[in-house]
Amino acid sequence: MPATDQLKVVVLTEFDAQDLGTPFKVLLFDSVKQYVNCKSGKVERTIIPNLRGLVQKIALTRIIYPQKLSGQELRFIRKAVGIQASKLAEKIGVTPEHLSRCEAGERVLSSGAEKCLRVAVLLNHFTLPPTDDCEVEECLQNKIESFQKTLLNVQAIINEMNIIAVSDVNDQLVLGFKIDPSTSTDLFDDPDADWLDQPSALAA
Amino acid sequence: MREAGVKQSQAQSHSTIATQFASSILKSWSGDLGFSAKVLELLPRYGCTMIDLLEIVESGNVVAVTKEEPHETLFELVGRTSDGHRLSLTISFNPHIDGLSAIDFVRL
Repeated sequence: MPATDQLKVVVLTEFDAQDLGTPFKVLLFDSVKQYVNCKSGKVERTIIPNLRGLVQKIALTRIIYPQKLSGQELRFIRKAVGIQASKLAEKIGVTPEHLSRCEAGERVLSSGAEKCLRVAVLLNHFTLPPTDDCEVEECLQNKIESFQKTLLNVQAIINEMNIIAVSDVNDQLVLGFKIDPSTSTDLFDDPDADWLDQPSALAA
Repeated sequence: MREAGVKQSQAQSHSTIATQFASSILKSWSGDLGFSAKVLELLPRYGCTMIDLLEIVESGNVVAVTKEEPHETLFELVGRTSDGHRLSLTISFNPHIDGLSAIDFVRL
């Protein structure tokens, strides 16, 4: 890669994250940076801020969207939030083998089990990691209190949710996201940067 | 004979320090992950995704540091993704570029 003074930095207005591994289309707005070689015009680097945060945000957004989860989506969501298949199966009251078959598309998860899965994923996301650092713990505690309020609202949404089991195969789910400028002084190199939904990108 | 032993010991110490340096880079990583054009080209060819590479970076298993220069450090990580792919991933740390960048990988 050439020296950084020979590179031009571009923040893309829209980036199609097709290699992310999601079973649906994900668009990122005003958040992805590219380093472009000034001489050749070649893109040397494509930088996605807070990638783990993005993956978790995508999973949570999909969880709240009422369309029935496909096998690929089940697998993606489980991976995104880092739950082992056996633990998730236990939480939602199915056997690991059944969950595995659902993820492979050989079986379909019942609506009740799917709702349990959605709640389990949310609860897992909002669980505090263990820590010995008092300051970090206090900060996390404040965050968790605001999350818990959100969680109650989300749980209510899921309890009332009518999962849409049938959809037109020609309709592609598109989810859009953008870095929240209020959580980040700089879009990049900021571990506190949060991702926001861009509902205008959502099409069913 | 003794001189060769000392040299070997020095090389091992240097390798350990370099690996520890790479591990400390990973610990202070902001979470931004960059991808070289080559990696973006290889991902679909190997049936891998950005999340697979993220999992390898997060596993933090540094096996070698291949370049140590003021403007760039390259190190190699090896790990297994949750889909079972075993990968060797080359990461670049450049203090002038945000986060870490995946610049090459191979399926083992």
